[in-house]
Amino acid sequence: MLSVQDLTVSVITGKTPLDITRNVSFELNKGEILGVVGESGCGKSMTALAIMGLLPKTTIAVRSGRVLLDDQEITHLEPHQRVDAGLSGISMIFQEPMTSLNPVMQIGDQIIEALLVHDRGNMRAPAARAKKLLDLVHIPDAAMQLKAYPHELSGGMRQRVMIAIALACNPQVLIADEPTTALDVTIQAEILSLLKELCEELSMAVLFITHNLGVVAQLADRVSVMYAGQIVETASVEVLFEHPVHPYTHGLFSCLPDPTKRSEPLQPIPGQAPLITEITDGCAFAPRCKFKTSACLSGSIDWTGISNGHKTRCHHPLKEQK
Amino acid sequence: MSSETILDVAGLRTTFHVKRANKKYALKAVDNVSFHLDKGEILGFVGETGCGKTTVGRSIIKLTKPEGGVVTFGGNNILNLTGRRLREVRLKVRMVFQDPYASLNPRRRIADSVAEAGDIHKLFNSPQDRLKQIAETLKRVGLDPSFADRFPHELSGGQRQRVGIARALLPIPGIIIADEPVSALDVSIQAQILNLLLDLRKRLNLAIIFISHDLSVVGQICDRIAVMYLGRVVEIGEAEELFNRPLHPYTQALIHAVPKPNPRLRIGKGMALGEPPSRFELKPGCTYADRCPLAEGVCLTDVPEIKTVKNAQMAACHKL
Repeated sequence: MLSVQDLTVSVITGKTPLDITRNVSFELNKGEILGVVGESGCGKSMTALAIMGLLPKTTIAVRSGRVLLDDQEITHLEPHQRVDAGLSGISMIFQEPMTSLNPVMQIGDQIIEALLVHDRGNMRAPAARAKKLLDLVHIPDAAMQLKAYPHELSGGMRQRVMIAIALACNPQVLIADEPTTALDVTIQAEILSLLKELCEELSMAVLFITHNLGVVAQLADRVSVMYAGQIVETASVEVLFEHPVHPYTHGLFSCLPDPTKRSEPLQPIPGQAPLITEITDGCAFAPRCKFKTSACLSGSIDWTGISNGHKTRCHHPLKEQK
Repeated sequence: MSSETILDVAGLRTTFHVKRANKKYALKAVDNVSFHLDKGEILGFVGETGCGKTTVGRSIIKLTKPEGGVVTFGGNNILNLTGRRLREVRLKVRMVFQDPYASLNPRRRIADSVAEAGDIHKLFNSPQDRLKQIAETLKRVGLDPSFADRFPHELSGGQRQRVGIARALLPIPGIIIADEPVSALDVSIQAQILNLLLDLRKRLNLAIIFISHDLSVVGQICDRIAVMYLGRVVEIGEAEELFNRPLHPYTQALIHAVPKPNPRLRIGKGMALGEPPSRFELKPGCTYADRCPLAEGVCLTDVPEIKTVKNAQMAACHKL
């Protein structure tokens, strides 16, 4: 359904372009939830903005690679061109709903605004459809809440409104960029179960971006781990959590706090992730990796297949069980 | 109070007077909170946004002025101290803040930020002594002394938080109040800072009040945990017991809602807790009654007092 092929997003203001993401490829199938995990600055949000066609273009742009929606290329289409071409099947929700919603506009009108953009203004009874969308995301008293302003709603309710707006175009693909990071755990659990439910009911595909491995384990079908602009490991969620093979993925697991294993000290990954200006030839993780050999320091690291659907960009994938 | 107790807090109350829509409200941010802290102990405070955990930390050293209660430290009630004597206490009870970007002055060199408390209290004998102490403190938090001449923007998030901790360690305090010290950091860096705090506790016999919304982090590093809900401590006890056998229905729900990094342990449906009630107009009775599946009769009329339920574990619930 959504296919991303060798996507390279770069800062193009300097003499030489600086790559933020390098050769990111993945497929997203109908009704599937793909989790993209990685730390700050690894390029996960930039990948999402590139897919949405929301990059600033004059400073940061797609330098190579393609984004296909239902086999049609949308890589360089502006958002309004996508609507004209009927290729507006991708929606996105963001981390902090309060900064995405208009604070001086009733939420009903904000939903109708999205409906009108996609229905070219010739729609009947927009308010009724807006109410239906609020029902879909389980906002109680939907008819009354249409008149509410964002500040009158709690964080969890605002994120539900954002999801309702994202659903206005009947998307095939929903990109969720850290949608629960600003929420308390109890509310997070509710939003996650809502996303799961919508994904099943509307057979919508979800690209779920997060830094939280726990959230990925709860929600995703497949997981891609990103490091310094590249996907370094992809597998089904069960396989990745039982048997991570990339040293970075493995390192992420060993530094997760686990209250059931208090006696074992945390094992942090030494050093820190490189800045995009510091990435050199070879494996970007090599400076922090205890398994590196001379082969890791030059050339590009290709995919190594581990098992069906499980692959990694590493010369020395780990063998033992976690 | 045992001889090992370094800080004892009894009946701490902090109220904010706020005005909303032309109506005045008395928001009880901290309501009758009592606990003690032993030497070399890490006590965690967890809870959702707005539960008062940060206000507890700030009230202890009067960064926010409490309305009532007794905070005993070194034989004095901190809340009665003012001026120079209060500043001296603040030299022994230090804060580490959440966001190392916001809590370091971007125009001051690291050395000046780290030495600020020493400069104010005239703790350095000579400029050489000052440099020596700065270098020692930086080494203590795992930073090279050459960082002293740098500015905050030259440092990564993890390094900045190390500076935040270094600043609290010069001179060596008895207690550190760490308010969400790892929330702004990535997991791999977070683990480095947590290990540093554990290591400092061991080497310097520091007592730490560790405030966080992240149950896994608190469960990993704290000896005891206090769970807060709308200004009250609803449960307090040994970390391991509290995590494995939570007593209060809120603690149970909170631990259940933490997404476990294991796809085989997925949270089922039907655990919906709903939204917390308004903090401005609290109903009588237990503050958790609105969301509690066990609430009935007495829960809606009387506020439950915190009581010992088993061994060292205390909870505030009528149903226990």
